[in-house]
Amino acid sequence: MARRALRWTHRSHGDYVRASVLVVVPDRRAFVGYLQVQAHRLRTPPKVSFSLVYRHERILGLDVEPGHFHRNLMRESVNATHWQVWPKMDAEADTRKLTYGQWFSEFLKRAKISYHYPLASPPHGIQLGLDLK
Amino acid sequence: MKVDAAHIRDAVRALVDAKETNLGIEVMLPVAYPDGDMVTVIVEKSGGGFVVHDSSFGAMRVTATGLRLSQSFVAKSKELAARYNCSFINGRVSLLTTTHGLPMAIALVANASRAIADQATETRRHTDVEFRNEVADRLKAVVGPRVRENEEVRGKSGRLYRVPAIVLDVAQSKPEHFVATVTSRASVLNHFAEFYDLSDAYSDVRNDAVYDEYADIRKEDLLLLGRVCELIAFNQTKIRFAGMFDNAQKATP
Repeated sequence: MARRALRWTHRSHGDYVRASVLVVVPDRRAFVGYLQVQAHRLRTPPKVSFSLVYRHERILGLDVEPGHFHRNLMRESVNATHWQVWPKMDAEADTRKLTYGQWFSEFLKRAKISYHYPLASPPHGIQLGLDLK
Repeated sequence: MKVDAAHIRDAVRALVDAKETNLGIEVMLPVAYPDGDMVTVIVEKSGGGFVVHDSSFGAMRVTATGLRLSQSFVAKSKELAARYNCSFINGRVSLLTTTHGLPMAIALVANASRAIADQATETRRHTDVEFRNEVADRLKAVVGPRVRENEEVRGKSGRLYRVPAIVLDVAQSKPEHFVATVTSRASVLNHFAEFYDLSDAYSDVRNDAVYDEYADIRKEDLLLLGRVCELIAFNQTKIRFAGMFDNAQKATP
C-alpha cells in the first residue's frame, strides 16, 4: 500500500518531473519499496515512466511513449509503450492508447498496490513567466 | 548464412533511426543499456549550428531506480560528461556543434548520457534502515520479545550510543548482546569506538556486528572490527542467530 499521495518535483532536473512514495507490505517491515513516476515536461506525446523500486532495483516498469527502442534478446524490438519485469527485463509491448490516469491504474493493478489518494496528473510544458501589471 | 562486412554494416545500421518530434530530431543509436534499452539523443538547431542533447533521458534512468541527483552525483556526472566534451546541467547532457561535427557530437552525447545513467547500475546495497530492520526481524524470529531496538546506551567514556538491537537475557532483566549493523566502510571506525567504549562499561555483554557482505567493507576493516566484536555476515544470520542465544528460547511476553 502507498503511504501518501504522490507529489511532483523537478528539483535538479528541469526537463522532467518526478514523484515518489513509499509502499509497504503491512506487517512485513523488510518489504519496503517505492512507487516512482516520472514525466517529461516537454515531449509530445508525453513520455511517462512508472516504476516499482525495491532496493534500488526497478522490479516492475511501465514506459509510456518512451522515445527509444528496446531490443529484446529473444523477441522483437519494441519502440512504443512497454512493460518490463525484473529480472528478465524483456519489453512487453502494450499498444493501448490510455490517459495518464488509466495507465496509473493499470500499473497499480499489475503491481498490486493500493493507492487511496487523489490523483494529480504531471505538469506538462514550461511555466510561463508572465509579468504582473 | 555467410556473414561478411556488408551484412554486419547493414545490421548495425538497422539499429539507427531518426524522427522529428516536438523536441527536435530524435536519434536512436546502437548504444545499449544492459536491460536492452537503446540510447536516444536530440538534435536541435542553435544559431548557426546545432545543440545535441539527451533531454535528461539519461538522468531519468537514474532517478527511475530511486536514486536522487544529489550534489555528489551531479559532481561526478559533470566529470563524466566533460570526458566526452559535454556539459551536464540541470540533468541534461549537451554539446554545441557545427554541421561538420554533428555525427561525432551525436556519438559523444550518446556515450556521455549512457555513462551517467550507468551510475545507477552499480552494485546495489541495502539502505541502512532496511538493513537494520531486517536484522532486527531475524533476531525477533529467534528470541522474540527479548529484542529492544534503537535503545540509547552510555559507554565508559560517558558518550551515548544508539544500539540498533539489544538482546536481553531470558528474564528480560539485563542486556546479553549488543547487535550493531555495518553497511559501509565509512561506519567501521565509529562502530569500533562504540564497541570499545561499551565493552568497558558492560563487560558481561557480548558485542556482535552484522555486516553487509556486498558493501564496500574490506578485509582489513573486518579484522579491525573483529578485535572488539563478533562479526556475522548478513547471509549467515539465520544460522548464527539460531545457535547464539542462551537456550535460544523466546521469553514469555
